[in-house]
Amino acid sequence: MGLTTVLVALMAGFGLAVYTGLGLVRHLHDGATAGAGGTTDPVDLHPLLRLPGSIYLAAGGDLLRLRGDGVTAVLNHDGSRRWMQPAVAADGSVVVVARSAESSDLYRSAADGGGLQRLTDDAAAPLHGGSLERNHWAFHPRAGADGRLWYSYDAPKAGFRVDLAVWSRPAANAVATRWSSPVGYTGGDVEPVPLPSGGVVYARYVIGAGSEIRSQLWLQTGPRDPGHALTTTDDDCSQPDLAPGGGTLAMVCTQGGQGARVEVVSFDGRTLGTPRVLAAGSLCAFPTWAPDGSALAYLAPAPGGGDFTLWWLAGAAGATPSGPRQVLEGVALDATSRPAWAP
Amino acid sequence: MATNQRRRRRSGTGWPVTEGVATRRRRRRVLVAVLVIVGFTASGLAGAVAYFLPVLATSLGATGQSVVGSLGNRSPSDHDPFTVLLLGSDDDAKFVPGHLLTQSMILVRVEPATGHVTMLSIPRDLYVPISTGGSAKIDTAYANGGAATAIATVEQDFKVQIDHYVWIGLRGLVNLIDRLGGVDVVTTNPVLDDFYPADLAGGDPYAFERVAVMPGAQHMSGLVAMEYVRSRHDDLREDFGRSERQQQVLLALRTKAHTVGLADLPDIASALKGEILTDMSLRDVADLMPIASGLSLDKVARVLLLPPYTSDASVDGQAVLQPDWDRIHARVAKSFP
Repeated sequence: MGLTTVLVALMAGFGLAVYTGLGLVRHLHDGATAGAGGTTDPVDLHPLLRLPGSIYLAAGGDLLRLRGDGVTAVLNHDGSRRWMQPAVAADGSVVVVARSAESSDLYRSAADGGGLQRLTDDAAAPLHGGSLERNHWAFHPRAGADGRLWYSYDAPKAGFRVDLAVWSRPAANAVATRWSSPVGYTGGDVEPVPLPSGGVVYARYVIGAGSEIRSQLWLQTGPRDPGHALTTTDDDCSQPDLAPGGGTLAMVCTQGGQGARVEVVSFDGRTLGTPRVLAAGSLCAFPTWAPDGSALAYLAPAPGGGDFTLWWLAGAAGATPSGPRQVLEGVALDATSRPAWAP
Repeated sequence: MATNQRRRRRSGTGWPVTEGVATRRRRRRVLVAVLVIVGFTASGLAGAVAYFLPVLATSLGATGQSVVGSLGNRSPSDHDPFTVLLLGSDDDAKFVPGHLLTQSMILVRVEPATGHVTMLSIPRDLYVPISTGGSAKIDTAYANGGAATAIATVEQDFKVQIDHYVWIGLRGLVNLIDRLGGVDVVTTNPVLDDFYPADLAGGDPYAFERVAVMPGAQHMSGLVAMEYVRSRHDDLREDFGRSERQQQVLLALRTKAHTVGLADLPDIASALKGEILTDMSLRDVADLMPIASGLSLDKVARVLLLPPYTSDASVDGQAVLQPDWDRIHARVAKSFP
């Protein structure tokens, strides 16, 4: 009788173990494949490579700083603001986007996240009946060497049309200037990169020959200059970054497909040379030059198709760059946020 | 030695008495062992059944839907080319259950032997003869007769043979993508919309919200993927742009098929409860998974019925797309032989 009771208990336990075990398998599988937005606590992150300077990254709404052997959270998200798209100014301060549900604003902070200062006010005051369209988006900030702030901003708007245009404003002057006139209903002009000459290169979305939307790198020398294309619609290039010295440009090109590769190309201030592909076969995003121009960092999924993480390409500007090397693991980086690399 | 001799004494039945007892004991032990094995097996099966109960419940409710009409007989397990009609509907509180418009209609032809796939998006505003009578936008076919009418209308107008259909609701797509851990997509452009329906968060189903999906390669949650494929106001190509984005996310989903393990199925089934319907059997679905995960992007042809296949028109004051059937039939005959 005693043995029978034990056996029955064991059988029941086995059934429960099968049920729990299947759940455990799923849990482990979930951990291995990493869900959307999962971010490891920064204090647990240790880079696989030690890179010079500081690299600011966005993950799960937080702004992280990779420096030496460790990662720290510089700005943490809260219920209403998620931090993204950092940019480093010449004085070492950081300009960053705070995204809310209906709008986004630009902020400036010290390198460690202190002294947070709001630069734009894009949230509309609540109105009777609501008026969502009075809100605005500000994205892709860049700080020019002259202190000028560049960004993409969704004004002017009209009805259903909401397109981003390239804007700039002097640091000491709150009056902003619209530089570009986006092609309507394409999403507009984004990711401005100020040039030493005073002009700007940005990604412009246009309608291609087959009625598809493609991006082109576009050069403008002044606010009223219509500008001209640096790349073709077939190339479908975007996310430009100019190497220190201004002679080489890094970008992402997709050829209209679902692959995105990192290319570098010489730039004489007016035209581009012949591009070289440095990373392909993955979904690459936002190549970003090291402060000394010796290497590129960019975002791409971890091996096996995991979350986006940070990769490094040594000698990117030279004739024989090294192969890509993974810098971080165990973190889900926001692939819509360019890394910002400070000395 | 004497003891052994005693053990060898035979009983009247011809068997040694002590061996008969031993045999009985042995049989009893075997019986007990069998009972224990059966008990553990039954208990383990019960545990597995309890775990997979949501899958069974959802599968029974969602698959094997009967369709009045003539669906083709080709199934993924036959290794012959087959055609699936994918239907997607807004199914929030604005709509009456059972009378849902289809926001998305995609004809997919799969050739298992070669791995070639053709996706043809049918614009929701396409003005067509409906199989039950009269003409209307094609998105009303599902609302006025369910899958049977939608299938019959597409078969009749496009001159194709549809073998299967799959219908999925808004929340179903969001939940499915989230349960698969999100999807990786290279978005075509910034997708900005000040009048995006705020109907998934509860509250007023007629309210709007602002969305901004960033351009470029990224990892999307279910909600962002839904915003990307559903937004239509700030796209010069209107519904065609949306169709292209839907095809992109659909193809991104295929890469997730190989990450789905058996143990994931209950969660996925729970996420899809009431949000997916198909005529395919469980076996068809199981056969489809390896085909989907093995698809190569360079073997996928994506077709949008842009002008000159269609042209803007107005019928009874409503903006519609007028089909050029000669061109469309020639294109369909080529892609869906």
